[in-house]
Amino acid sequence: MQQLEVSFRREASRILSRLVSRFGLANQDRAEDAVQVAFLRAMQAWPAQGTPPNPGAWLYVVAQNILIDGLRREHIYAPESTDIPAAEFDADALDDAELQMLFMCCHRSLDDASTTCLILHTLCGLSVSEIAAGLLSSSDAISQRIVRAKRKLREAGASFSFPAGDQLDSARQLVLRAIYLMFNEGYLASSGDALVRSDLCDEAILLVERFRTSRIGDAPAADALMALLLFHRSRLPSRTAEDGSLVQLADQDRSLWDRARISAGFRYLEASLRGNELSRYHIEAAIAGCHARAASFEETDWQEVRLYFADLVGKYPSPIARLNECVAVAMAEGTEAGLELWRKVVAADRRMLGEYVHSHTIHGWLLERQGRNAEAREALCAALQHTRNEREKRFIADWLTRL
Amino acid sequence: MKFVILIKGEDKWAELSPAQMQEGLQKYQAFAARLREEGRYVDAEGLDAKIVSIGSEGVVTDGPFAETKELVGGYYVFTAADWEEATAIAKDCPALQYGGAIELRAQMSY
Repeated sequence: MQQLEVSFRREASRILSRLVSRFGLANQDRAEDAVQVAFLRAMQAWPAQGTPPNPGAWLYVVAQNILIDGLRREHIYAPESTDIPAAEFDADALDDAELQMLFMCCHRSLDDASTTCLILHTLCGLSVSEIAAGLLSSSDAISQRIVRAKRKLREAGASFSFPAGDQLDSARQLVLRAIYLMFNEGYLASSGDALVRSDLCDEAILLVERFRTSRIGDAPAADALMALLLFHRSRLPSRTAEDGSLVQLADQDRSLWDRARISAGFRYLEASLRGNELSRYHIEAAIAGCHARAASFEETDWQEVRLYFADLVGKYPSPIARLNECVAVAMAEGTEAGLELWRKVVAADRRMLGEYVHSHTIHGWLLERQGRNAEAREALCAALQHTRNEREKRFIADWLTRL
Repeated sequence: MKFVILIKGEDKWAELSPAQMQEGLQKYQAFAARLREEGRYVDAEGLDAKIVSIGSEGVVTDGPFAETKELVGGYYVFTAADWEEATAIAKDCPALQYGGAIELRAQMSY
């Protein structure tokens, strides 16, 4: 069988981006249909005539022709119109348009969930049903979200361009953040199809790599994010037991961790240290790197982890980061110190953390380490009340029976 | 003996992701490659949706039509020893996996 050198997924993203950048957001749906029909034509033509020498260019030209024919049929362009913004195939222009599409998907007018869906749909070439499976949602909800997001972009007057000057840096941060959130959707989702979820994680990693190597994405924070995602991804197989239940970091079978991804992670982490920038991805990657290096949970360099957490909550304060810091402090300085910090952290943000399941599981874990099992049980019962997730419920219930 | 596979009404495509489309292409390529390797391949094409019908009264009707179920979207011409062999080959045509129907026709024998 003839081996194709083309990836429809990549071409879908590049060609769609180029067509939308030339024909406008108003024609995005028509452009999506045109790309789909171009693939269909390829399926009919290539087996008979052989694969064209430049499959990507063939698909682009065919999709563009289909789109223009459609626009003429709908009288959006007059039959003899000469102001049709058709353009020849130009690989660099396609790559640029794709990058601009990425910035567009991370537009300020969109909420996080819409950005994730839009990226997966337009840039990762996932079908609506695939996205629904990955994000534990229904196909209807996902397609509505995509429709609304596209409308919002049109209403916000989002344009295809490269952010320049002051805006470049903040636009870049929005892109990295969007990819980080997209990865978390796949990584943290505590139920759903494991295979689909690892796909989401891999898509996010591919996207950082594409962004990082683009002419505008080269930034230490992008390297740091790459390192962070690779470290997390390396552990994905060990996070789920055979019966589908969650496995905590302390109990994970570290022989399942993917060594190749871990060493790649360290290479990116090292590369991220150029320049003065210390993004949250730098610090989170450094923490993840400590775990990746450690032979076991107990043998982890907790002193170092603790220092990184101090950096993280100092520079990028968040209640969740502070909660995790309690674990690092408990391991580095002793459980009592961890508990003391936990009380402080929860007192400072009782409204949010009181409702947060893992604030209670961490409390239970600390109490259990001190042998205060009755109190630990109480904490875990509180945790049970704050999750509706079946897998988490089972995890906590199992823990309770062991106490 | 020459046979033709007429592919009709594959309508599953709109829902497929690019990766699934590529998988479909690879199946068709494997199908065509097998016909070539076995020395059976004569011709194949995808057909445009436009139809011009020319009747005895000289009336000309023009497509494309909304109803694609009966529309022939492509064909494969190949050789086989008999109907049995040709049918077995036609059953392997990927169109059947994508909601399409196949009409198998043979050259007229004299």
